[in-house]
Amino acid sequence: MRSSKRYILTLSLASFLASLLIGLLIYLLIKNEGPFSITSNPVNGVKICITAGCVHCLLNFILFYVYAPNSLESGFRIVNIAKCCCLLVLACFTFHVIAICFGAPLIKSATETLHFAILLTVLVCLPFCLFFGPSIENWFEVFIDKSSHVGLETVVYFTSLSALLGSWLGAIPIPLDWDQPWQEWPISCVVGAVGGYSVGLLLSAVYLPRKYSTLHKSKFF
Amino acid sequence: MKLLILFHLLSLVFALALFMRAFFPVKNVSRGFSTQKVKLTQGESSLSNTSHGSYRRLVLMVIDALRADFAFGPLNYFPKTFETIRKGHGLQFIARTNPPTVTLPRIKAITTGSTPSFIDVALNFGSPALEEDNIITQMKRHGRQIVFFGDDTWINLFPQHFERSDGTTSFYVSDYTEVDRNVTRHLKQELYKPTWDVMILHYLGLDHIGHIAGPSSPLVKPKLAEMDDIIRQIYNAMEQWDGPSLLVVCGDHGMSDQGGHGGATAGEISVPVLFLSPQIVNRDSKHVASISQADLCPTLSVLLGLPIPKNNLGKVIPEALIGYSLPEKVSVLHQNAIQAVQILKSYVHDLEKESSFMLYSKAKHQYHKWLAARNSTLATAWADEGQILLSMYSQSLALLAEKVTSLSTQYDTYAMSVSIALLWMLLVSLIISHMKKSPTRHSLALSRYASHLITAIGAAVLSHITMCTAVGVPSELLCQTTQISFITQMLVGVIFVTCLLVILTEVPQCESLPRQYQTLVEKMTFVEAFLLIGTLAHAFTLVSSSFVEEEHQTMYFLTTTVHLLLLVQTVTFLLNSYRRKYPSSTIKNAIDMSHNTYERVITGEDINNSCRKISLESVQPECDRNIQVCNSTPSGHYSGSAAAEPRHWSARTVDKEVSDCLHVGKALGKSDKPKGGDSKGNVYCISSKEFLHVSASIICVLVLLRVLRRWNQTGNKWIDVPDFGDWLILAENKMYLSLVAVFSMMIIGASQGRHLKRVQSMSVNLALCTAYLYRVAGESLFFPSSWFLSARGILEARASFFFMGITVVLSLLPTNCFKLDDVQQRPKTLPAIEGQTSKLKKAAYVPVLSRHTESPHCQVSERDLVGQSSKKTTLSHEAAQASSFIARQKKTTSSVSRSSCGTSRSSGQMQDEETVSFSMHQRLRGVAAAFLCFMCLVLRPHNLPVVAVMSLVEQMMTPVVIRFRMQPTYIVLYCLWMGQAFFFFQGNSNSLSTLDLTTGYTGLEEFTPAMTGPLLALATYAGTIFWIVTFLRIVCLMCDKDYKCSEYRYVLLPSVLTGACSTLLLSRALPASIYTVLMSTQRYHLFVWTVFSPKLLYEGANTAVTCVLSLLLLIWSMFQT
Repeated sequence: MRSSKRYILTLSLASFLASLLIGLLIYLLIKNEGPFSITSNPVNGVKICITAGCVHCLLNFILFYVYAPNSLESGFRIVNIAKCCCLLVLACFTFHVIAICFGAPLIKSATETLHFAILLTVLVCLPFCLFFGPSIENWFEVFIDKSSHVGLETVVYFTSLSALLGSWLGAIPIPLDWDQPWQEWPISCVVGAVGGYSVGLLLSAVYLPRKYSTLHKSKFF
Repeated sequence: MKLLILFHLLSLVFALALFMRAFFPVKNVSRGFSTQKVKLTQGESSLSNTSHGSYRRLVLMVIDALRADFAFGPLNYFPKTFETIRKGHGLQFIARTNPPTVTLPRIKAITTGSTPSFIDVALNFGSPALEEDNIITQMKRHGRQIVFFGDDTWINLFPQHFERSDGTTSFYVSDYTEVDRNVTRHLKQELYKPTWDVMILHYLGLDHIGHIAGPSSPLVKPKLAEMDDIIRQIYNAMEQWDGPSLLVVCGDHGMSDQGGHGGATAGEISVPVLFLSPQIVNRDSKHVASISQADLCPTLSVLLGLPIPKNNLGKVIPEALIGYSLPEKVSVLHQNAIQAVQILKSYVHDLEKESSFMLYSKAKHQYHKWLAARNSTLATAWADEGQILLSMYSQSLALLAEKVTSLSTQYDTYAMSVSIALLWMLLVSLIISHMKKSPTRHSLALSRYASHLITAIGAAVLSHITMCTAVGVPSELLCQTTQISFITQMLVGVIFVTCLLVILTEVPQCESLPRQYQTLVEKMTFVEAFLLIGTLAHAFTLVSSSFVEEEHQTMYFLTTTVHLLLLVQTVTFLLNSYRRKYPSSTIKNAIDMSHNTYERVITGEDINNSCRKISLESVQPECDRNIQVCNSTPSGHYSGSAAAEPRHWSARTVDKEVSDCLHVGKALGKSDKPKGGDSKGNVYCISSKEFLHVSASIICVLVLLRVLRRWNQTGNKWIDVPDFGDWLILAENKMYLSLVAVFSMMIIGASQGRHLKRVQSMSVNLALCTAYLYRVAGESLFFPSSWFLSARGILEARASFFFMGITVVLSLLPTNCFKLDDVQQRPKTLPAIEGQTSKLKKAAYVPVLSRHTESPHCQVSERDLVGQSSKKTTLSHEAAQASSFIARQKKTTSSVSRSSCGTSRSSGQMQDEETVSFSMHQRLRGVAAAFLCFMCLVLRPHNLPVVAVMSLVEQMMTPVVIRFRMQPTYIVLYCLWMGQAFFFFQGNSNSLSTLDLTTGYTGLEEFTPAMTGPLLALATYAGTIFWIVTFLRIVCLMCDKDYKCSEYRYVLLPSVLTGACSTLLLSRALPASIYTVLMSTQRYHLFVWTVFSPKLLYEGANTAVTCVLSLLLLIWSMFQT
């Protein structure tokens, strides 16, 4: 299926805007001193990030629906939705366990860890489930083959991987002796994940038109 | 190649040693003894004999590891002593000590009044005699009679100073009652008839309690009550004596919240100092002044009427000068300042610019004016001015001490930079010689490089001469005409020239560096890439002091990530094979079928039937079909191999060593993979059965690593978080500790014994039992009766060492000895045989399956099974026949995939090779088991589960690592990471306070340097050593089971070993070269003595251990050729 030029441009622009907005959100979360400050109330901050991730997914979904409705995977089927839900819950559980394996406290900050796991699920797994359904074949196409298609696949690929990488890198400042409030688990990792997501969006915003033009030998401007 | 590695190894050790020698400054002390007694200007003293000082007798009571809050805290551990103080007969101070907070440097600080250099920590174990001017020698020179009881460090420091002495060894940390009783038993007599002038007591019990159980242990209170009693006893006796006498109670260093010492936490550096005397009348009994530990020296000198030692940087405590008039106090401080300025003079040329000296001369000026104005001004104003003078002198002394301390740490910058240059050259030449795969024909076109070489050498010599003759760069190590300096210079020259030669000759041949890099990246899987990146990143994190303190976090993070990535890789493989299954449904069915068969077989339900199922009739058509599929579809190789694997297994159902078999099957299956044909050469498949196996082990390992994280909290930031280890060593949990210990020993015995010969397994178990009894004798573990145990368990420890030795010897014996062992095991029932590790049989099967030389081995297997039931014989027949088909199939596939695998060889030679190589990993297994026993013996009982988990993790990860066929270089990195992680799991850190000294004394009566040092190193780096042994075992297994082993072993095993050597050296040279640069640039950093220097010592020790290990590897690889 050949994606239209306008679709790619819109997607790229939307990604760029979303990346900026999410960057702004992180900045606000860190800088403000009020009830939404992530340092004083991590759970609240994570909840805001989760909401932002969901909203972005939905917006993307609308975009997707408007421009390429026929490429949606097998429509809305109850089985698929149930499968997706199971997958998301499983992913959430897995992320929680992985966080504990990496040294998150088992009991003391279980709520924070759970929220962090939900956030990662939203940033990493939700977009994929929403756009491509619970199919391993599609998973392969997006993450292993990553070849011919440009479009949401690219965005999902970049954001998922960079969100994971960001949350991994976010753990690095925790042992430093700066005694900053944001060094508490899981604040730096949350910021890393969301930051990684926004960087991924930025990357895909740049990458999409370039890849498209090389693939279809057509210039945008 | 090997010579080059040997050269690298030796020069790495040399360069690092040179750096450490240059970095740890040896203080320049002025020799000789001061003779200037402190004179009091006006003879108005209220005390009669000022020439002898104000006190006739002194009792100095040092309580090791007495931290300040033991005395001044809310718990009131010293009720009787503080009652005396409340009555006004005492003074109390909090003294601040300098890190390193270890006994020897602290004693030096108390007696000389100076700051000992960092390297005194290393000398703490050997304590040579103190030659500096010090208060004890001054006492001796002034005819005071000194008696000493306590820590024998004092006796080593001051030989022939004491009239009577009784030393106790400070290293038996497990004993905390006897050491103190040995001191106290002398007291009664000495106090009753004081024929001495000075008595020094050094109590060690409290320190030992701290090391065993920490400051919050229930053992602390009775111990301090005992100390309190002793203080009261001495004080009561003092009241009876004639002449004024003084009791000084102090701690040499404090205790961290974990019970160790050596670092710079608040608990470690603050100690109480109490002055008690019936002659003291102190109205302000609540006041606790803050002093420095070095201040004790001049104060005691003054109070005893002795000259202040030459190198003293402490200041006399004015509050302690009870009974001195104000002019006397000022005069004492004045003379103290004169003495200290003499030290400053030896360091600084232009004194006038020093702020401390300016303050001093101002004070001196005012002092003379003040003396002159005595009768002309008002008494109160005059007294006020005197107080101001006192504080001025104190201030200038403090400034002066600070200045001198910073100056006295004189680094040998020239030697430092030379060694850094050497390290970097070594690093570069190591990398170059590591990258180059084939040994170059050493055409050694010297003439081509001669001009470069001569220029470089000339420049180096010239700059060396310039540096040495330059003013202000005095290098003791490299610029002197002494023999040692000359040899050092020669060695530096040799290393420099050789490195240069290597670099010059190799670099032009590496012009294809980008291409090499490309091939390197292409061959890598992402796990390997992560191992490489992680190692680099880890080396660079050492730049940050918090990452040095929290290095364990880095290691935990990296090991967890690498296991997670392995898991991801497994999942990817599974999905891959899931995808590859679609092309042909027959293959899928075949896989399922053989799975079912396999499952049933390994559960041992019905061996005979299941083997029938895969009898030849059913196997052959499928094989043929598979081959057709392989030929027809491009991706068919994968499916073909995937389908072939299970059948390999089922053909060898007799052998129950599942994991080992898996490797053979994997190796066989995998080598079918076309090497360069497919662009995704790294993508290969995994069967769902095996996926479960691999992923379950990885998940288990992840969980175990997470549990171990909480076993011993180390580092700095989260060290206070309660952990399992802390809980287990509580006195009331002795029962749990014993249970845990027994359980972990059982795990070790079972998990290791599974793969060992019976004799080996027996001696391993005996070693474990004796190790347990050793701990019982040390009263840390429970056992119903203990009448048969020796004192301190020395006998038990030695017995355990003996059994370990037996295990090692048994594993190193020639293989023939074990054949007997196997034959004896043979006449058993069928399940029993399966349970045993019947090695010979396997040795027979492996070649059958992997090569095309069936007949001799089939005979072997048949001969083995003579005397068994007929079922068994048919089974072996079937297996052999099935394998012959597989071999045929293999031949076809290999010819299709053009893989250049082993062709025919003479079968006799083959069998010989098999026996040799088969026993190699078996032998290493024996050595590893013995080493685990060693760890059980020397590590603390609460660390036994760590050892058990290590054994388990090793058993689970070995098959996985082999399965993923990582390149040997990366397996080395993986093993090094795991070794490092277990170093921290044991509770070690980069601070000296976590070093467990007791391990060095296991099974020893007394301090013997030849034994203690190696024992300590072995115990501390046990994780690293064990994992390197594991690496060897993995390599042997890979060489043993590999399809291509005929070439692999005889060409590659030595080269794998030398490659491993150079990887090990690289892994040390990289952090060393980065870290030395950091140390030299940061040498005035705040944390240099508390964080960076201990880390440098640890790096040095780690390098030494690793170099010894790689030397062994090198020797082994030489024997292989």
